[in-house]
Parts: sequence; structure tokens; C-alpha cells
Amino acid sequence: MKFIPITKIVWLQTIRRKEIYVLLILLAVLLSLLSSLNIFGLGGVGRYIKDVGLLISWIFSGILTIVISGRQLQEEEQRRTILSIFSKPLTRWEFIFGKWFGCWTVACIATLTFYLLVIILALYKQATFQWVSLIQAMIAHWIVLGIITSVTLALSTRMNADAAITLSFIINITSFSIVPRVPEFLTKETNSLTATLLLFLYNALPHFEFLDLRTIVVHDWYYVSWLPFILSLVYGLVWVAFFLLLAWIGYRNKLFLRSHLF
Amino acid sequence: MKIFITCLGLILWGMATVLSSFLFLMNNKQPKAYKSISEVVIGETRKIVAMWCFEKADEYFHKGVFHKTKLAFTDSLYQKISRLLIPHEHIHLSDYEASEILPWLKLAIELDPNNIEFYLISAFWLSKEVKRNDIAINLLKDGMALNPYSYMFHMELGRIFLRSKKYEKALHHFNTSIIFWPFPLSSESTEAKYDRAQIQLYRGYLLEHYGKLDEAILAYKDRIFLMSESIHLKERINQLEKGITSKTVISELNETISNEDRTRLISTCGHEHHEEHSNQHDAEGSH
Repeated sequence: MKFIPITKIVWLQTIRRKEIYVLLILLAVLLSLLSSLNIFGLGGVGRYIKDVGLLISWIFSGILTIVISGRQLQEEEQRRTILSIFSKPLTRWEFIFGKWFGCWTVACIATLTFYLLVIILALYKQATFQWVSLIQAMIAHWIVLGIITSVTLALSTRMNADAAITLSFIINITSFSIVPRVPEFLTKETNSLTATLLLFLYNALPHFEFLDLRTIVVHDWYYVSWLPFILSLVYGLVWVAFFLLLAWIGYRNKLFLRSHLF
Repeated sequence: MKIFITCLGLILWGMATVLSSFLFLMNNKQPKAYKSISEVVIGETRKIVAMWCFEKADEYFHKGVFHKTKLAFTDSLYQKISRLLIPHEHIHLSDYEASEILPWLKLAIELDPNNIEFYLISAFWLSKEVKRNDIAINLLKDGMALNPYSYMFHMELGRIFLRSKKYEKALHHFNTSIIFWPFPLSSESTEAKYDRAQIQLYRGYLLEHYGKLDEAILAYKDRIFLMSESIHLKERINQLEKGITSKTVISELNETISNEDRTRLISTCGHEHHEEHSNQHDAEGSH
């Protein structure tokens, strides 16, 4: 478990920075404003809090994950601590995995905090929850964060932080909002080049809609059957493994010369 | 720090948009010719967001299941897996749970207070499913204040009073509705003609109930003129001209309003194949 010290470094760095606290406060402010809306004096109307709260949680956790993951490798290189790390008996794979695990666990804990805030405010507005559905949605969300972390980390092995973060945003937003709607877009698309590109994206990028179970939480549907749910988690984990493998391949033969570092 | 500045920027932009909308509403007395470019642009944005809120209410009515759209293919592996995970049954909210759509309708009204349809649909749900006629009436009165002389508000008020069996008040509002008809629509509009036909039918029943047979006959005749398939009313008119009133006029009235409510529920859904629908309390089991 040589990657644990690397993971601990990520945790300590993130605790010292302010992003999580800022996003948590912003989420609290936005949800408080939303919950202050008077719905014709009626009580027991809280589904919209769940909906908007979970959407903002997804957005904030995505931003947090990408920003934290994107700068990990470049910061180590800028501070030249990468040289002392690799002077230890630590393989490149353990280093990459440690970084991924640290970023992922931080993102999961932050997401859990966001969810708790949404749950508290929704319950205050007398919304109801199907708790098993909620747990399923949260686990699926964590897997999505794992994919996002691994994508960003893979990109940052060969790009600087800004480029990796920007490209990661593009890839993940495309996976989230465009890929599920490709069958719909293709009915309106007459240009064969664009249609080919859309089909390529449909098959090449991860399908986040399998792991986005907000609908069942917001609208109080019963939980997903366990077999398809576990298969969707396995699907997500396969993508995580794939991008971690890419990250390792991108990093394993990278040379770090003192004269080339910042 | 970058995240903080970005998020702060987004929130400030959002607050500026909301504030400008409220300021625009407060200064709504400006003649149209003097609207600035920013008011025009922001005004249209408000309406777009209001329509989005309205569609969100429709989504909530269907428990998050979107209306089916045309797809280039439906048998990819991803779609098959997606059907196992994401709910796709067509279910409507009913009873008090239908109130979950109201926050979005409220937001739509706040953003576009001159859109009469938002008020009418909100009032319908408040009255029919949530069973809060008092809130529905107050909402329609607020709408009337901003959109005076529209016959639709009085028509809806008439329906609300019919449901709560306050026939005198219902008749008063239907009479007012006919006076204001067809504003804000055109007298040639199909919707306006249909609404007038409905109002006249309700007026006919109510006037007959209160013994005002001459006025009831005129209302039925207007209904037949607008909707020629109302042939059964000719027999009724003949009876009324002989001074014979129906003993079941109130039950016919109640049946008519129930049928209309059912039709409006389906038209809120906005698509066909309603025999496949079920209501919230009929749905059982996981998907």
C-alpha cells in the first residue's frame, strides 16, 4: 500500500485550499434562496429542492474533481518534489494510483457533504426520499467522479494543468450532455461528416446517463434492480481502469530532468 | 481562487438577470416604443426561461419521464441498458402530489406574468388535484390585475366555482366572461370559439337551473351556432320553449365539468395513447 502516503498528500493539500468550503457555502446559499420560495403557501412541496440541489451538486463536484485532479502532477513537477518522490521505491503506477485515489476520495467526501446538505434542506421542505434509491444514486455518482478523475489525470500526464483541465471539462460535459442525445441529434443531422463525428462520440466516450440516477431520487421512483445497477458500476469501473492505464502509459517513461523542470 | 471567482461571477450574473427582470416589471408602464435594447433582450430571455420552467413542470407531471422523441435508432446496446436503469413508464402525478409541479409554474408566472396560460394551468391544478380553491382564486385574481379584460380568467373562476358547487358565483363569472370575450384573442380564433361554446353551455345549464329560461335558450342557441354537433340541444331548446325544464340539469352540469376536466388532464399531457397511462397511486413495484 505504498500509494497511501501519496493519497494523504492530496488530502492535506485539498484541506488547506478553500475550494470545497467555498462550493459548500455557495450550495448552501443557493439552496436557501430556493427553499425560501413560497409555493402558494402550500407545504410538502420539496421535489424541486432535490432536483436543483442534486444538479448543483453534480456541477460543483465535477468542477472540484477536475480542478483538483488537473493540477496534481504539474504542481509536483513545478515544486520539483517529483524528483524526491521518484527517488523513493515507488513505482509510477503506485504514484498515479495514489494521486487518483486521493483526488477521488476527496471528491467523494465533498459530494457526500453536498448530498447531506441537499437532504437536510429537502427534508426541511417536507420532501420524501426513497433511501435505497438515494444510496444507489450516490454510489453511481461516486463512480462518475472516478471516471472524471482518471480522465483528468490521464490528460495531465502529457499536458499542463490548464490544458488538461480545459480538455477534461470538454470531454466530460460532452459525455454528460451530448452523448446521451446523439440518437436524437442524428434525426436532424443531414451532414454526413457531422453525423459520423456524433456516432464516433457516441461510441468512444463514456455514457454517464447509466450512472446518473437523479431522476429516481427526485421523483421518488423505486430503486433500480440490483443486477443492472451492479453492471452499470462495473461499466464505470472499466472506464476508470482504462483511463488510469492511459495515465500510467503516459507517465511511465516520462523523463524528469532537473534542468527541464520549472 | 479561480473557482471562487468563477462561481461568484456566475452568481452575480444570475442575480443581475433576476434583478433586471423585477426592475423591468416594476417599470412596466413604459410605452412599448420606448423599450431599450437591454429590456428587449432581457425581456425575451425571461420568456425563454419562463417557458423552460413550464416544460419543467410538464416533466415533473410525468415523474421525470420525458415525452418520447424521434430517434435515429432505438436498439443500440447503450439504449437497451439505459432502459433497465432509467424509468420509462408513463405515469401522471395525481392528488396532492401534483402540487410538485407548482414551484415551476410559480417561477414561470414570476418570470412572465403576462402569459395567461401559466395562471390558468396553475389554477386548474390547484383546484382540481390539490383541492385548494382559495389559492387558485387568489392566483387568478392576481393574474387579472396584470392582464385585465381577459375572458379566460373569469371562465376559469367559473369552473372553480362549479367544482365547489357554488352555482351563483359560477354564473356570475361566466356572464362576465362572455362580456369580455374574445379579448385577448381574436373572435375568429378556434380557441376563442371553443371557449365561448363551453361558456354558453355552462350558462345554459345554470340559467335553466335558476329558471331564466329565455336567457338559457339564447345561450344554447349560441352554443349550437358555434358547435353544430350539439344537436341534442335542439331538443332541449324545444322543451324549454314549452316551459319544460329538465330535472337533471345539475347532474348534467356536473358531468360536463368532469368530462372537461378529464379532457384538460389529457391535453396537459400533450400526446396520444392515453390508455397506456396510469396515475401515481396505480403504479407499483420497481421499474
